[in-house]
Amino acid sequence: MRSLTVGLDYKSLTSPKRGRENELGIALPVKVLDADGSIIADALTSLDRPAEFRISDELRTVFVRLAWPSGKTETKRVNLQQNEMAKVVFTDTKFARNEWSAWATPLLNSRASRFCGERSSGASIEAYLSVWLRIWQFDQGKWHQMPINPLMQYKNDVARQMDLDLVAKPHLLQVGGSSVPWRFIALPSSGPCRILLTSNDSKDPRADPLKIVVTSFRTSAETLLEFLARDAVRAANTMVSSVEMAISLFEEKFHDPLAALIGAYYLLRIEDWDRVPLWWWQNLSTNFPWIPDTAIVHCVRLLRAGLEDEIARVKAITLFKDCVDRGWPVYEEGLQLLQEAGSLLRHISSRQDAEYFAKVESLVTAKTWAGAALSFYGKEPSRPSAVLWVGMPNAPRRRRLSQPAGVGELIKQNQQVVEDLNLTIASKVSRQMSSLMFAKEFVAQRPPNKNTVRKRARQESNSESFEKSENNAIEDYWISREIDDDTNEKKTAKPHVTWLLLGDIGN
Amino acid sequence: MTLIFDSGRGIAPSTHVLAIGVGRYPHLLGGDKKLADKPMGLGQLDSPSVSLKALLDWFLAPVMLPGSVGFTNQAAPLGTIHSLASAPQPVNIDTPTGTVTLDCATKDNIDNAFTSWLNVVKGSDTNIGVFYFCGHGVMVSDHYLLAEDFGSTLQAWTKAFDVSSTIRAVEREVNGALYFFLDACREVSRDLALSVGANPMALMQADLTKKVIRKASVCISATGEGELAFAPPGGEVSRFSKALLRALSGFSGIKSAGQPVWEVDGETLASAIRKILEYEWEKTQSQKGNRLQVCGQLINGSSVPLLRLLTTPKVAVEINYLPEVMRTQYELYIQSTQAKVAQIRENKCLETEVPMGVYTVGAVDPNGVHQSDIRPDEDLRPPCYNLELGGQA
Repeated sequence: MRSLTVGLDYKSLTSPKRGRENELGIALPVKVLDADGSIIADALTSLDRPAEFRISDELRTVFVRLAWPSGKTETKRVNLQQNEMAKVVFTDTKFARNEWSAWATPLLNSRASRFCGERSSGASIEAYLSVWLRIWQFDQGKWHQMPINPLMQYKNDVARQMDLDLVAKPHLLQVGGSSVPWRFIALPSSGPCRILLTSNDSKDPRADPLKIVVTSFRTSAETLLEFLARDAVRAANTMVSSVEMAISLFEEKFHDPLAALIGAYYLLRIEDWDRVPLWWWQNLSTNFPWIPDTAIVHCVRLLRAGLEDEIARVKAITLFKDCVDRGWPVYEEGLQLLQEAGSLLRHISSRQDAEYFAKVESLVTAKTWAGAALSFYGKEPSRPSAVLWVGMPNAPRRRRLSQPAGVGELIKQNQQVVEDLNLTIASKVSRQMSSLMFAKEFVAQRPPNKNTVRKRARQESNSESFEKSENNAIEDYWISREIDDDTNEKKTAKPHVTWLLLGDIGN
Repeated sequence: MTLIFDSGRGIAPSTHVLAIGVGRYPHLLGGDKKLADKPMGLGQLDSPSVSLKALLDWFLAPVMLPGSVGFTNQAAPLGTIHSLASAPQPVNIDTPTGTVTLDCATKDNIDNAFTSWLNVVKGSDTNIGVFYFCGHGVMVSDHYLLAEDFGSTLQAWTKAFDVSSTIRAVEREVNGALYFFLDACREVSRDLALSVGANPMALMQADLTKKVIRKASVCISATGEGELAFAPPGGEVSRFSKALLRALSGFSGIKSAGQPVWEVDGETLASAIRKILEYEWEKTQSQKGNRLQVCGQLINGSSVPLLRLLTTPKVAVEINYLPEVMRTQYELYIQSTQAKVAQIRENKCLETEVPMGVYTVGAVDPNGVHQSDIRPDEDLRPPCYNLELGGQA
């Protein structure tokens, strides 16, 4: 047998200043193939731990294929005739044009050549410099806008990047512009978080014009999740080497609950959830309520095992509601589970819970693709919507869908079903609730300009019109601050910088 | 007739197929019966019966003519096929016992066929269940599929079913592996989203007291969420079904460790279908209105192959040289570790099919005047490989 070592030398990813304590840096799956393309062996290679293989003496030449989560692969030939011990190293010299952006390259599609130093041909970011960004934080049951305070900012002609430090609460980044639909991307909280924005050259018709990639520097765990998000289960299996590694990630929940969550996602995906005791799932959801996903993985764990009695049934419904009450899941994988749980539990839940199922239905309908991170369209975080909005924060306008005829009548019909007390099961009511939410997107009027706001607010102060109730529901929506003269509560509200332009990053 | 093929394998590990094609919708636009209250802009479809027939012919081919390209899985050979079709003309399928005319895909018939299919799939822990649907689909958060008689009653949605919830129910009933191929639109219909009572039921309700027991669950949809599925006009096989059949016909697979067998599981298949759709789109993208169709998939559980091939999977190769005016100056070739397997010196692309593997591809000027462009160690994996050599056009 001959020995083959496969190393990873991504110099741009070895900066000691970056990342979390104990984070080993990026690790990627490699496969050893023969000339027929048959897989001889696979393993994980990382910056500090190369993959080691034992190759049969019969093979004189093998090929080593390195896979990125984006689907791109790199293959190298290894001749074994001469060497008892062969070594091959994958480097980032071709794409590490900027050290600060190199981390994202494995997550960008294979045509992301703009990061290549030698053949830089990427689309310029210039067309998106007037795209705005704002950050929302979920606190005390509501979403609030937060000032954006980047710790570091980076720029080049194809990308912008900023580093944030987030407290342990759910956060969403919102972007929008005159040609960029308003959408949200969940940010992994509790510690450093990096966001890279670049133009999207994906051929997928669903792709948004602006590509946004996020990391919380849990590189290995996040890479595993990126493979799962793309249904690349085989690569994910190589990433964890064995189920034990996923279990070990889970076990370390008090050290890093987000990594533990990713371990939980993996176990649910490969249907090995019974390899860890139920109380681990319970601890995760109980001790980390600021990660909404922890409730839904616990809920789905119960559902997959079967709800044997009333206690389990109530617990599953409570966890489902907890997830919704705590903000939205951080990861797309969490949304899949939320959808699974919602679809199953709405048939055994009472009408009082219908609103939860309607919200999840709206979220699923509004979702868009941002890799492993949850992403969805909408104006406000609490109201995801399939209706696309564009424009500046103070001048939203609808795109794609025109107002249907008779929308007022549709709202009335849906409202009647929602209010029908004879319907006792959530599934009968929730569908109409989400229809109502959808219909109301069409009658939501363009926010009035500054000069007419006060007058309009007085006119509506005693009315139950939708427009008024909408504004009341979103306390920190920008228009609320504009009417601060009319309420004592708002008098003390101090407007703050709530968005920044992409073009300002790095300036 | 619904059960069109029964191998007689009984409870021996087998693959059981339920395939439905709905192109005739009498109560939708262009139909010959009373128009549904809200047809959602949906009309008649040419493709489903043709796509369905192509799929059934592929499954039955090795049974009808041993050795022909079709369904191959020694671990779970073809057990039964249930099928329904709705089209303007009766849909006839050649089976080993003669030609069979398929029953219409009304909701009642779908319910009955589903029950029968589920019972046979439950027969063995190592069975594989295949569910194929080609027809109209819409979605809100779950995916709804429309039976032929959609719109025949005031409660239009009673003639549709929620396939997403159906999958979640079946996962609690079947020990083996499940493959769902859904060749239907997943567009979020505004009319549907706003409708009262648009809440179709699953083909069976999930029994939540039961544990999820299936080994593997694969759902590959013709499009991603919120998107339309397409078929060429004139009653041809739909883009998705065509890509599915090509992927199944030797253009996907990975080697099983230590065995001369190439396995096609959900992940392999989804990846191949996606690449074929993209490859076909790139060849025709200049056509007006042609839009890339990106399939969606959800894969859960362990890997249970749908196919076990006994020959090396193939790769469709297309090698071009740019600028095209220089193409005649070059010989385009592809070479395995042993020898050249294809070459051409004409003003066109080199198009061929080769077994998967590592090759050298290149463009050389036999006269030695122009600079060669040779790419060693190209990793050719199914289903397709295309490369442009030389410079830019």
